[in-house]
Amino acid sequence: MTEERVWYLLSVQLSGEATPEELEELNTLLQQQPGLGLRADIMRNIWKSKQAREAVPASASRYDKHLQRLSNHLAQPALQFDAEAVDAEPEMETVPQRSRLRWLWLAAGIAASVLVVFLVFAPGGKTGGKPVASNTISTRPGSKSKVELPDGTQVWLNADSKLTYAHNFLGNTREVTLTGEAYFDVAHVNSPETGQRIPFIIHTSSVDIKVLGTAFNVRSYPGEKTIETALIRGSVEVTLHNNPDKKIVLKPDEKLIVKNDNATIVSNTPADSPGAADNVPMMTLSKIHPWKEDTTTHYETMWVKNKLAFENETFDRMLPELERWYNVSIVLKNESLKGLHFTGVFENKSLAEVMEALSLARGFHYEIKGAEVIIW
Amino acid sequence: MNDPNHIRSLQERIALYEDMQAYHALYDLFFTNLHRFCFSFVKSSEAAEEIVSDVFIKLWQIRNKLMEIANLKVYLYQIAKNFCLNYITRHFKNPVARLDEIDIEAVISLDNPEELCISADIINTIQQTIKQLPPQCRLIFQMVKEDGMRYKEVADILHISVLTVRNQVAIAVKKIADTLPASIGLQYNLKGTR
Repeated sequence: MTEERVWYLLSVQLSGEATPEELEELNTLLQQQPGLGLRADIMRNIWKSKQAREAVPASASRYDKHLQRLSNHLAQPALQFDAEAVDAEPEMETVPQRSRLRWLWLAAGIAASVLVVFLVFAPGGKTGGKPVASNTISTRPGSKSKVELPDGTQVWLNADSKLTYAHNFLGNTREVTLTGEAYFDVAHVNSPETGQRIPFIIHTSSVDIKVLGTAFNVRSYPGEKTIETALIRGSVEVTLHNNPDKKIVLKPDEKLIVKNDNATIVSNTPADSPGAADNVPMMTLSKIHPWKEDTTTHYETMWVKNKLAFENETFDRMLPELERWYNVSIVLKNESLKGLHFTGVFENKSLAEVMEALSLARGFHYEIKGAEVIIW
Repeated sequence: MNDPNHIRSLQERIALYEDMQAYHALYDLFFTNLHRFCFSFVKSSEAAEEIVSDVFIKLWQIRNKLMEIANLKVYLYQIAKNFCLNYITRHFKNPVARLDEIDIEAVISLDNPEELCISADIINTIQQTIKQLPPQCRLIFQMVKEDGMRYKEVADILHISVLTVRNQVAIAVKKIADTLPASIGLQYNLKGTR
C-alpha cells in the first residue's frame, strides 16, 4: 500500500539509511499524494526534536562523582596486593567467562598504578605548615608506623618522619604537615553543610598537595634534594610555594621531581658538593615503572609493604634511605662511589645482608661497627 | 557522539597516553545518551548514572587494550546493556533478564506543540502511541532517533539483524504518523506550516 510505503521510506530517510533510489521514490510518492505531505512534515519535525537536558545534574559534579567511584574502585587492591585477585571486580559478571581472568589481572595491574610526584623547591619559598595547636605523630629512624586520622584517612609513616595535624582537623579543610615520607590513603569526606567534598591538603617544606580522595606517597625529608609524592589513584593538584599561581595536576604513573632548595643537609649523607644541587633540574616530569617481579607494585611505595626498594637509584641518594631504614649512620669515604646506580628490592634483610649484596655487586668495601657503617 | 574520527582520536589518546582529558571528554560526549539508554532499562536516573559510571570504570580498566576495539561507541553501549541486564537481574530478582522480556521506558523527545505545528492533544496522542509500541521497537526507535545511531550499530548492540532494526523503525514511524492529523484543516495552529 502506498501510504505504508511512504512511512517506510520516510523512516529510512530520517534514519539516514535511505538509498538515493529510495529518496527519489519518496519524493515522487509525496508529490502524488499531497495529502500525506503535512504528516510527513510533522514527522520530520518530531524527529528533529531535541532532548531537554535539565534531567541530568551538572556535568562537572557528575564527572567528579564518577572519578571518585573510579578511584574507589581501583583503590581496593592498591594496598592489598595479596587479596586483590579474589574480589577485585564484582561488576565484571557480564564479561564472558573465558576472558574473566584476564580482566582481573588487568584490573589488578591498573589498580596498582602509582603516580609519583617528586617535588623540590626553588629558593625563596617559605617553609611548610603553619604552627597551630596540633597533634604530632612521628617515627624514629629504623621504625615505621601506620595511623588513622580522625577522618578515616590512613597514613603509613616511614622511618624518621613526622606528621602534624591541627586540633580542628575536621573543619572545612583537612590539613596536615609532613616532614619525611608517608603514604596516604585519603578518605572521602563531604561537608555536612555544603555537601561538597572536603579537600585534604598536605603541606611540605616546598609544596602543597591538594587531594579530594586518593592514595599516594609523599617523600619530603629535610636532608634531601627532592620532595616526592607518589599517587596511587585519583589525581592530585600540586602547588609550589614559590609559585602559588601555578598548579600542577598529575596523571597516573607520572613522577614529578622538583628541586628542593629548602634542603638543609643534616645527616652525614655524602655531602652535596657545592653545585651538586644545581644539577637537579627545577622540575622534571617522568614515568614510573612497576617492579618486574610483581607488576602490581611500584618501587615508590614498596616501603609500605616493608620492602626496601631502589630503582636505578644513585648511591648517595640510597645511603640516607639505608640510614633511616636501619637507624645507622653511614660514612662514605670514597667520593667516586657516589655516582653508582642500583636497582633492587630487599625484603626482611638485615643491614649486613644488604651491604654484602651491594658490595658484591659493585665491588666496594664496607665495615659495620655497631650503628656506624664505613664504606670505601 | 557521531563523529567517528573524534571518538577514534579520544580512544587513541586514552589507550596510548592514558590521557585523562580525553577520558573526561569521552565521558561528557557519551554521558547523556548512555544515561538515557540505561534509564530505559532500569527506570531510575541514579541507577542509570551509576551504570554509566561503571561503564567508564571498565573503559579505564581496559585502556591498554582500547585500540583493539573497532567501534568504541557500539562497545560502550554493549557494556552498558550488559550492566543494565545485570542490574535488573540483581535488583528485581529476575532469574533471566533477556532483552525482549524487559519493559523499556523509551525517552523520546518532542518539542512543544508550537514548534511542531500540532496541538498539545496530538502531542499526548503521540506519546501514548510511543508508549504502546512493543518494548524492543521503542528502544530501537529511541536509539536511532535520539542517539542518531546507524542501523548496523543498533543491530550490533542488541544482537539483532539490521533488517529487524529497519522494520522496527518503520513500524514506529508508521504508528506515529497514523496518529497525526491527516488534513491541515484540523490544525489549531497553522502558522509555520509551509
